[in-house]
Amino acid sequence: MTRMIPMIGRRLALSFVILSLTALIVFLGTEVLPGDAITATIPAEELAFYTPQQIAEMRHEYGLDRPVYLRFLEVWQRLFSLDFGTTIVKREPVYDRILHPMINSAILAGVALAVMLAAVIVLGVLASLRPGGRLDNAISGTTLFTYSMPDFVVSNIFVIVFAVWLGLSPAVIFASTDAPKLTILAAAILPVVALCVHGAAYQFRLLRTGMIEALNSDYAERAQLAGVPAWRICIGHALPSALIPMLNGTAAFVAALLSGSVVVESVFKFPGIGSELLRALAQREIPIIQAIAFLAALAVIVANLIADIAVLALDPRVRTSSRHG
Amino acid sequence: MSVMSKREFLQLAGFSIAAAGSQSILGITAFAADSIPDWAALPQGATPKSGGKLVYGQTYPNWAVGTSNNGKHPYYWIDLLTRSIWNCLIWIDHDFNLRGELAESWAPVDETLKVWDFKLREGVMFHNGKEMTSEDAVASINAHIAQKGSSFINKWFDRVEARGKYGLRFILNASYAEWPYALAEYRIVIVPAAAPDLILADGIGTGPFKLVQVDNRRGFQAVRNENYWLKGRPFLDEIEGYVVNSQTAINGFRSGQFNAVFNIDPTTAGQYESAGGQIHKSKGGDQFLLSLPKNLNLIWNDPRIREAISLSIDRDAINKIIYNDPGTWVGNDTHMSGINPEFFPREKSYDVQRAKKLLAEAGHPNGLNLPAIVFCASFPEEPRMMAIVAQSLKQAGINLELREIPTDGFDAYTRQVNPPIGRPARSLVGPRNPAINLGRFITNPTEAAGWTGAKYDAFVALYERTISEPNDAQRLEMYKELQRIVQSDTPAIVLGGRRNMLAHAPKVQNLRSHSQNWSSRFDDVWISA
Repeated sequence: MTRMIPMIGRRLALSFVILSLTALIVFLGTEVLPGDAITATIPAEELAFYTPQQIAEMRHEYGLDRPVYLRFLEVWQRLFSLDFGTTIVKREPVYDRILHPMINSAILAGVALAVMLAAVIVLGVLASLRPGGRLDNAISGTTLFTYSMPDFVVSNIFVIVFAVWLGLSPAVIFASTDAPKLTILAAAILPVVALCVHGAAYQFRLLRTGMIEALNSDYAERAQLAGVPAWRICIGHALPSALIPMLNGTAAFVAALLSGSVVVESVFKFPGIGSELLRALAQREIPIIQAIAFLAALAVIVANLIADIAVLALDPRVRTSSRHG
Repeated sequence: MSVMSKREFLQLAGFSIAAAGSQSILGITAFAADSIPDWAALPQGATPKSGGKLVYGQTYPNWAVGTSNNGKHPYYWIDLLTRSIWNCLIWIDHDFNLRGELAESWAPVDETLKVWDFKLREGVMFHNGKEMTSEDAVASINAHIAQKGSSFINKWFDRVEARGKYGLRFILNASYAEWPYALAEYRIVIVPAAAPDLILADGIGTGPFKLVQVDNRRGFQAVRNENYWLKGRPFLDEIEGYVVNSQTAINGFRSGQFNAVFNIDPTTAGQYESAGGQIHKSKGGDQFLLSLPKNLNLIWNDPRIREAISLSIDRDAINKIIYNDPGTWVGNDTHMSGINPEFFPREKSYDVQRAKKLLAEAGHPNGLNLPAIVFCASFPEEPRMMAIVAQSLKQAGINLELREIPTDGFDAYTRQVNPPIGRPARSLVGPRNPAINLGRFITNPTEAAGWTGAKYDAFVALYERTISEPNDAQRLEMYKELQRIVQSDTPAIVLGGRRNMLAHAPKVQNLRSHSQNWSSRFDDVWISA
């Protein structure tokens, strides 16, 4: 464990640098290129509706008349202290506007992640027990099919099948944005499954490959000869080894969850951050876009960090190589 | 045609007060306390049943409530349909007649038409258990004036006084023959008197349902008001409304979550019907008006170009393709439409050759590019309609980008610049009487869009004379003349107009689409066994 602390420290420092770079990219993308927050908010042909004095006042109000590096430092400080400022149109705190949608989306994404991991491990283990067998073919074929289905198709099929035809779940989520978390959780069942379908397929393929490789390895064969039961070889020896490539894929899945939730939330009218982001993009609400982009990057970085730590914990080879280099 | 004098008119109005059930623009309704007014009578043979819940989807997006700071404030409820929770003094019925909602009767005091007396219903209770009195009505009206509730009343309002427990006197700063109509506006609801910073903010009204919860971005839940002033109403135990997009509305209806959907996309009617839904269509609905800022150096400052734009729009194609209802809607580039008896049509509304000629006269023989105009999809069919508009303009050589902006925040976005007119934008104009319709060119800076000049001056002068004219027949002719003036200068362009449509489950009874979306009622709706 003591060996891992410096490695985790290095990962944390790296995460901090990545997050700072993210802040820089967000800043450049939304405030500097191709103009600034004002010209990004106002398309060129609409500048006719502003007097130069109005533009100057707005620039001053948003601090855009100051040097770029100072503005970046301010944005950096604001983002890192989670102070996202106020919206441009309504002048309301960005934090108030995104808090509940963010929590709701975190619940949706968190549960989707947990469900996906559980489903993938079960399916991956089952499929790898008899590669090429009927069960493996059935699961592999199904996941190949679901992998090719975009989120919006899956969501709409789920609505038609489970809500309209079978009446098992609501087609429209009525829960209010600030509803109790259990209500949000109950409302999230179908969106969670819809989010998992695509991502689980990819994760399953990673895990299945890892499992088959591990089960065909020398150490698995030796354990088999030593009389270790098959289930134990599978769960105790092959699975930890096979999880390592999948964990890296899981971190990527978190990023996919964020983009997928925009679509899925829209179909189910889930009160999450996806619809808030779409609204902000269309309204050119730069502070909201900055906040959501930063928090999304933070979520991906944290997910990667957790995955890295898990890999360090599971794989002694990584610990050794890290120590040496 | 004989012309009635003002004195004769007022005498007639006085007689009308005594005549129960009679009504007119300066109209009066009267009936015994605790009885149901004639306008609230149920269809013959109706056997209403109490109980049940109406859950409706509203495809009219959260233009107002989505950007509000307080979802309990009635000003933001146009999306959710105000009259479930609140009432106004006056209601406009499905045939565009004035009806006394919280006002039992009304009449001008003298022939100046500057002083109006209203008698409130007695025994009306607020949701908080307090009886509504003239003090509440005065406080409400004063709050609406202070909060700029409606430019349709602010311009003429001087003061309001309580006269006894149930009497109100409005003193206007100018003669206004159609004052009662303005008090039917959806924002001008009556609420309990309270301090200026608290009044209107608590969701308390006199309506058939009591508000339980509202989510600014999504919807509301309310329960039956047991003390509703229309005795025996409402029939429903609960009501919920949700702002949803068109596809979500269909999904919700087909899955049984919604038993009604307001403002359905006309092209989706078949989908509702195939799910057992019944469609109800009103006579009219909102119109889509382009307000073109004329206070800046923009190409449409030349009235010939504005007329050319109007003549290039194939509105019949919109009626046919979008509404599958050819020939029903007609407009004339004012806020008036065919459902107004005073409507005066343009001689020719679609004439590409004349449009090209006008463009050539204005120095653009090869066509021209217009600045972008923004709109939001307040109704689901609107983006498709805008595509037809842009395409038909191209036929005359006019290139126009109609840019879609989200509905919530749209108003703030359009008014962000060029105050008080704002960006070139599509305004939604709901159907109203001619005094309000035509007055919008004076009271609403966005829609007037900086209209100035000799024709504007003539319009304003005639408008003031018109609304002081007590004789209905004379006023009608004056309204037509006002429309002629507007058409000769084309300060704004009306692209098309809709027929509001709703879909409901077969068990939902007596739910009707209203041309004024915001005047939809729920107190006479029931769910059959």
